[in-house]
Amino acid sequence: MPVLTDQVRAQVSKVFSERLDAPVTLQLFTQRASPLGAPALPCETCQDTEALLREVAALSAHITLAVRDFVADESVALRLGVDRIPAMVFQGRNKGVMRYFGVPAGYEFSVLVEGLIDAARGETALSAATRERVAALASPIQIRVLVTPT
Amino acid sequence: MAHALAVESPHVTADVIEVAEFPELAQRYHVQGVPKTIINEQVSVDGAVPESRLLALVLDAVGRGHAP
Repeated sequence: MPVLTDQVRAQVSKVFSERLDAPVTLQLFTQRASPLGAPALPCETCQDTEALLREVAALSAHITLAVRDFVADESVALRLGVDRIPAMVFQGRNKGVMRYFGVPAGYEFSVLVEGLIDAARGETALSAATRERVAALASPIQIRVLVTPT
Repeated sequence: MAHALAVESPHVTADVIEVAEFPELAQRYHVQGVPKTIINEQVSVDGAVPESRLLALVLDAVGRGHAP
């Protein structure tokens, strides 16, 4: 059963066609079903997240979705700073690191859509003054924003 | 907004975390409401943070001179 409604799919498709004009890769770290039945790690939202991202990625030819197993691809996960799942890493023209942990549903769906567009374009709607100050940063900054889906 | 900063600077790492899925983080950061923004594990702000405020917080964290 589709995750996105027809209305949302149409809206996102329109936004992507207007603003998403460069390649972007979304690395999704999830878990694969074990041949023995039980997954290696508990992850209640991994399947929903993967289903959602597959539908979103299908809405633009510029989006590549790379689905990775958190356990089997541990070295890649570690390199990208992924320490829990579900997690996604945005890779486009963004200069810094953009990650999302959890399922980007409800209000947070826009974080996924805007993140894809901004990462692809390598530019944002931030003011020129803010961009200038941020570009001048010379030491590491880690920002964590804790959210809930509604 | 945090992601936007990471688009603009190679020094910024921005994580958006759906905290209901990771209760250990809710506990670690004493989350009582969302959104909650934490910068370099030392500056913490509850509620929505507009662009100018986020920039001020980032610059303040830089001024403190502690890397994450």
